[in-house]
Amino acid sequence: MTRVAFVLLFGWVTVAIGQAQSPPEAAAQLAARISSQLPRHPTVSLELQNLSTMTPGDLSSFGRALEEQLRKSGLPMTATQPEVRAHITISENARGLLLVAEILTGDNRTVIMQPWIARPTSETKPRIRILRRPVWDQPEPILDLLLLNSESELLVLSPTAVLSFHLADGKWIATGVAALSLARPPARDPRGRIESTPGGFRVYLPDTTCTGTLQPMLTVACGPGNEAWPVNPRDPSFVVRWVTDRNVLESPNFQSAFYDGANGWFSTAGHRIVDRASNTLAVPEAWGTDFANIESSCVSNPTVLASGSGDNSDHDQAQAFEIASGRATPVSESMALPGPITALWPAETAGQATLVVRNSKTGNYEASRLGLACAE
Amino acid sequence: MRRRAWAWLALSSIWLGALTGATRPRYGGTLTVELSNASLMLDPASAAGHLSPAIAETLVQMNARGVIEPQLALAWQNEPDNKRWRFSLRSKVTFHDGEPLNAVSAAPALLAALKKKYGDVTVTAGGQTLVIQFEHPMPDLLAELTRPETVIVHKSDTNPVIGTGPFRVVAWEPGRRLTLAAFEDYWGGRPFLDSIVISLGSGQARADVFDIPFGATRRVVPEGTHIWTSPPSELIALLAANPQSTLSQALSLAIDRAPIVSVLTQRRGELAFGILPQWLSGYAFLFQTAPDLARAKQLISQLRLPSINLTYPANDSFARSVADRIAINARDAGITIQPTTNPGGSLTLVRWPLESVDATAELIRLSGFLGAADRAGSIDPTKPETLYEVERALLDDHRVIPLVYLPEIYGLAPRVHNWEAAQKRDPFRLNLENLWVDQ
Amino acid sequence: MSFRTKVFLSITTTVVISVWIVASVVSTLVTNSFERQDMQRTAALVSQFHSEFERRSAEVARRVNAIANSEDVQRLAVNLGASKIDTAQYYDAAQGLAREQSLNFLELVGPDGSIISSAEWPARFGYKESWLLQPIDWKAQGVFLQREELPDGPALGLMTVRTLNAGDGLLYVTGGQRLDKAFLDSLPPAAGMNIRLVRDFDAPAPSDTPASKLAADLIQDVRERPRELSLTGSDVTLTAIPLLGRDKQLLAILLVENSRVELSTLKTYIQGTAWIAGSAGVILGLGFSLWAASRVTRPLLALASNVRDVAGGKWDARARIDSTDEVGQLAQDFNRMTEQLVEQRDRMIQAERVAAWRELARRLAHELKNPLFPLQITIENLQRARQTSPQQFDEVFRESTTTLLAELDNLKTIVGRFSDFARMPAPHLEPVDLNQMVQEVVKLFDAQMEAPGRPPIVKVLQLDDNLPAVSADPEQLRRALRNLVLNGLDAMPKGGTLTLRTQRLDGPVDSKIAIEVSDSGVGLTPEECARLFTPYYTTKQHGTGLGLAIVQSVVSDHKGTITVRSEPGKGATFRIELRA
Repeated sequence: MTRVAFVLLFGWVTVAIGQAQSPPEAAAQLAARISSQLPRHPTVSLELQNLSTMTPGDLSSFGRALEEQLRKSGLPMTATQPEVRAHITISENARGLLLVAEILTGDNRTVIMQPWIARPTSETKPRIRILRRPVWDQPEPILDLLLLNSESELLVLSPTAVLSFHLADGKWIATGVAALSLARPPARDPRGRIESTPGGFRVYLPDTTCTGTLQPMLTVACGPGNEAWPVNPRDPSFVVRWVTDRNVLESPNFQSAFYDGANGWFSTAGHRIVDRASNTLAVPEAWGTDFANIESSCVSNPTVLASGSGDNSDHDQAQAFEIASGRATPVSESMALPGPITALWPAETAGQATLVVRNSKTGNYEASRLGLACAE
Repeated sequence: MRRRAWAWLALSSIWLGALTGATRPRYGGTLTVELSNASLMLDPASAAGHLSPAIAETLVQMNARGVIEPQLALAWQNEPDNKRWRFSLRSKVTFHDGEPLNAVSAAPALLAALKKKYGDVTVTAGGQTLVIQFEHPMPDLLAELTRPETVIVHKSDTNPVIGTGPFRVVAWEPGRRLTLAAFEDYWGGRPFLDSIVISLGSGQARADVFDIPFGATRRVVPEGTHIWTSPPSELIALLAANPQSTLSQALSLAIDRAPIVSVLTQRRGELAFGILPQWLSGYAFLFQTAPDLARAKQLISQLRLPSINLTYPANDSFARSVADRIAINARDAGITIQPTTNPGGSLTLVRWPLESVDATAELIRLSGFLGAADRAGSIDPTKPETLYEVERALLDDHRVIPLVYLPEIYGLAPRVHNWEAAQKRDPFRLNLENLWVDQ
Repeated sequence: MSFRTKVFLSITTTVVISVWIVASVVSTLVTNSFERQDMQRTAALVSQFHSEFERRSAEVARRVNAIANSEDVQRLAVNLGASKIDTAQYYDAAQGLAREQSLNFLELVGPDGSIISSAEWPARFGYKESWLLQPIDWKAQGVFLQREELPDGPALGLMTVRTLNAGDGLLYVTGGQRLDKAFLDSLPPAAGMNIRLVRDFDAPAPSDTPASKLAADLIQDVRERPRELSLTGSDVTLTAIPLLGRDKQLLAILLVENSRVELSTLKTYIQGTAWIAGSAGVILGLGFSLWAASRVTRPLLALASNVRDVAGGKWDARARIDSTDEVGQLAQDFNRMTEQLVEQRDRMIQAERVAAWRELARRLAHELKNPLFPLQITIENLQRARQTSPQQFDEVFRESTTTLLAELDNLKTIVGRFSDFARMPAPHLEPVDLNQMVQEVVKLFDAQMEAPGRPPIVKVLQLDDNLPAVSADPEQLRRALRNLVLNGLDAMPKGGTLTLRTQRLDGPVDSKIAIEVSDSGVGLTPEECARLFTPYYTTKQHGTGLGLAIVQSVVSDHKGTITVRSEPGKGATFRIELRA
């Protein structure tokens, strides 16, 4: 393993020392070549397409630099009725990035290519750290949890009951248990959601919806129903429903939704991530089936926490990804976990997510809150 | 060995640390491998493919980014005219039979391989230095020396391949089974596995590692098997014997590649519009077109075509499925195509495996199949546009209609570890020395 | 036609007609029997076809149902309905299912009509089967015929459709079996029957035989109005069963060819046998007829021969009496008749003799009377003269003696004629050139014909150059010719034309010659013609009347014939025919 890494690194460094360019440098070189093809300085429109693993940040940096360089070389840039269309694709082959510029003048097409050895440091440095704050653990499965009253009250949802706690001296003290009367027997792989409501709270379980109060005491009343689950507390308009006996949340034709603010993303039965228009999100193969959107000030684009893939019951991981231009790019290191993730939900507080892991050693269900911090 | 490539190099450093359940590798155990191609031979020069990579090594190797790296040769120099090359061999390397690797022991195999391809060549051996002299300039010698045909081996009566690789041959039953054992004195460190048993042509899916060729009847894959898919490594294309540009154009417009990919390859393949895949050339997207049945019909209406025979490889059910699909697409455009296994059809369905990450070398090699190897002269390795132009010209000849790229697919038992990391080193070879198994 | 021939023919005709009637009846019965059998065989095959068709249909329905109810298909339907699954993984599902149920056709089609999996044409995944989306109750539709597209061309299939609920839509399972040669082979036809399925109606006939043309006509007829129809040709009976599709469109025609060659052969055989038997019968009949005719007619023929004998002059012919039936009675009567004839002939001969003697005596008396009367007058004159005028006695004596001598010459002539007539000898035959004789005879009368003071008579000779020599007595013949010429001249006191003709007559058996002497005189009445050859009959004022009798006698002695034809005022023609 070590030897392999060495070879890679060696190869990488060898290449990097020779020709590595920053995005502005690559853009300048490309702009010069493009403008040399257009001595008459016609009006030009610029379109950018990314077919590489370049991060959105580098991509936008490159795009801005290219446009600037083209302007500097005397080419008027316009979006409407240009004389020339410059279609720039950041492609990638086995040797690295490849810039492909198609200069379209009427029916004529000129193609310019430029290999780009990007400086490795900007691509690989993680920009985010995942912060994990344990909240509660218990032998029974934890489906979700809710922190209320400035995180002084805790509601824990398990498959058959809601438990309430009060924070005292840094410890959670149990204050109540309310059993849930379920319309159906608990699912083999239980999932559920609990949200705060003006009068108390609401619980969403497969085919059962419960409303509860905390005052004067914890009470819960349940009835059969299949209401929409609040996947993202920040946007109640995003409607998904539990599909009985399918273990998925569904909005027509899709399963396991998560929400990025502008578009709903779903994972399909074939384990692809698609949006509502069936556009595929390119994700690394290590993505699992649990993900939650999470807000972060370190990243301008929507960010998602995702579990790892595989059936491995010993370990799991969580990692943050930035969603941009149809790609999910990791922006944090992967956080190893002591067992498989059994629940991963956006929390009621922005910038947090609820994570539940079944510790493969102890068998306990450990619920924690995740947050993101900008990496130094 | 079948070739594959791996495209996630950019994230390699992250992923190294992020492998699910990563633990330190264990030594020992036997890895069983099943390969469906029973015609694989031990001889590195075999055209049908061979099993030698774990056994024998070349002077240099090419990594996944196309960079030449040392293997048995640590350093090299070439004269400006590229006719004379000098290699310094790695020291403290022995063959499986104990003979040390030096210029004298390396020269015979190298000379034989180079002579077979280039004719007039001499190899001078001295100490740890090999000097290769050509009559003609050989600027691409290093790439050539990465090819398995140039492995440094001995032959003996008892053992057909005596190399310097991490595994040595214990038993070889041609067409049936190859048994390898770890070479304790391997210069790169003893491999983790004690032994490897490679079975050919059984198709049982019971081994630790087994290939899943396209078109194979669905085998029952054991529970827990991890299916690993390589990036595209084989081009399926139509070859016209006597290219009529109108016909080829019409065919290319009539054929809807998307269903071939989505159904026949079960979404594991990739649409192919160019000869080289996107991951290799980086510009394949420029060749992309959409099917246009109306235009195809219009082109065909100008021709009076008899029924056209499409030859596909016999005993290849996947090729048969593709040929049938092409026939039905062509029929929609008014072209009658008759799939057949008889040779000599006007069209031939070919399967061209890729062999190297060197896009230029691959294009030159594949253009040789198209009888256009002379075009290679116009390729400037420093200008990828020239490669694009040559590929464009080859496509405009209408001799070849790319259809789909296929990956290699392997089933991996849960006890097999380090598979993905192991493939990083060389995209087209099965690097078994880095695998380890649970015991 | 002889009586025997008539009898023979009548019996033969009866036999032949009887045989023909029997043979015709047999032939007709056989033909009808075979036609019936032919129709029965065809009907049986048609019925078998319908049964097999129904059996196959039920089988297809059962198998497609089994597939629709199978776990794999049920799971597919559920998955389709539950979520947007990737149907690509099912693209080869139909082949295995079809193989299990031995179906030639099987397609799994999604709610939008796209083929998920096709057994018969795997490459057609994704293509639409829009016909399935019609609002049809497929279960009620049952099994139907349909033209299915295959890689190597269209085929006819016995198809059915089952649907399964797949969420808001339906999963269609359409399957069936091919209607092809294997199906036809399951309908074992009788010998001489051939079944074929015609799908391409516009294909040219396989050959130019009458059977192919008949088939083409039949197909065309059924195309215009689909129904079961049969046409019969010379060698074949064709029955067409139209195979209709779901929308009642004609998809194919099952053509049953029932060869009539066997029937024809058998018919020919039977007819031949009938002909042979008939011919044998006819021959037998002929033989019998011959025998019967002979037996019946022999006595009659014998009798006829006797009659001919009698007619030929043998009046004493006697018929044999072999039986007591009508023929025997006839023979008896014949014998009696001939006896009477002989008696009558004898009597008649006697009477004729007496009549001839009387006639001769009369003629003689008449001839002699004439000269005798002048004799008597002369002598009386002499007596008177001696007595009364002795001075003129000498002169009277001279005149009277002259007259007496003349009349005595006349008497001598008459007696000489009679003597000649009585004394005419048998002809002495020798070859005679008649033409020369005619010329010689005519020459004798040249002076008479051209005598001055007499109206001229022109002689015309029309002599046949090919006249053969005739075996005749030249002297007699010459005499006969002289008499005829003389008669002719005598018949033309005012002049005219005397024509003599000779002619060769070639008959079927022998040759004859004819001599004609024609005059242009006053002619003869029919009564005169009848009596002309009677001795002493004359129309002349003078003459003995023996001339034509002599001619007739000569002709008769020469075994010839003489005839006369004449009309009053138009002359007469005497024609002698002699054997050459």
